[in-house]
Amino acid sequence: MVERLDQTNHDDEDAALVQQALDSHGDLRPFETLVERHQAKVLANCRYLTGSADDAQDLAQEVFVKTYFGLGRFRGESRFGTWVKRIKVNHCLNFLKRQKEKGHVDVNDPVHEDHEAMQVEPVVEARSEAANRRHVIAATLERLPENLRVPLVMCDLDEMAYQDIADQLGLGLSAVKMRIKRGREEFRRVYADIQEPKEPLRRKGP
Amino acid sequence: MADQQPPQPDPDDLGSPVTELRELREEPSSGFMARIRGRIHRRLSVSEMVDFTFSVFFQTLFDYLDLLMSALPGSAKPTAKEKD
Repeated sequence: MVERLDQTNHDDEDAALVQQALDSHGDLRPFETLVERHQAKVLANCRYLTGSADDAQDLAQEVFVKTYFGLGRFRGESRFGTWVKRIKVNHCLNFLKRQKEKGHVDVNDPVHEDHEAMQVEPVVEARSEAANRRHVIAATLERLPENLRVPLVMCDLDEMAYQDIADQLGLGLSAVKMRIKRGREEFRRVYADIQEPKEPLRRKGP
Repeated sequence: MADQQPPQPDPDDLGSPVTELRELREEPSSGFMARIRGRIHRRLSVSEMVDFTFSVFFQTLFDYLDLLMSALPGSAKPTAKEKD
């Protein structure tokens, strides 16, 4: 109940800030306050949707710039956070498409199922950071294949509805549910591996 | 994407650490806001520049066409003397 009230207050404050930003005629301060309220989540989402920590800052900035120039089209029918989420998801999915078109080799592609052998370093890196639970979660997400990570992040990080995820990804509802289920299983398995590795992974080879 | 209740999946599927994903946040770098501000100002400047260029271009074009029309034989406006 208290949580819901907090959420309502948060939404009302967002709506008031959007109105101030629209009325401000060039004064960016109300919009900057909106950015400050949403940046941590937008940034996390950009990072884990794309799997690229290097590009996440740039992507998040572009999302907020798009948001700023689209403020006039925001009708207030949905929450500001939901609206930003839509811009962010579209932007990140377009980024992933462009990366594929450029011909980047995706080691997480299902074609490369044997990717464990290619990912020894992240495990070691994650183990050294295991004291921090958040870092372990981040490292776990980075190890998930893209086809499982993206629906999982949209569902469990961004709290999107299954149907919205299916629409965004151009997949069927049952396919999305299946990927999320598999994503969670894989997430738990990798998380447990990083927390308590049974034996150090070695590179396969002669 | 309407405001909907978050999905309520099979309870067996949730639990730690999956639920902790919802709390995942990333702290932005120190110049994050400044770079957003810079990008916005750049886009506004470019937009103003394009507007200005277009308006100057069309104004010049209309002035030139006006001059051309007035120079054509028979299109000159009659002077006060000619009217008389």
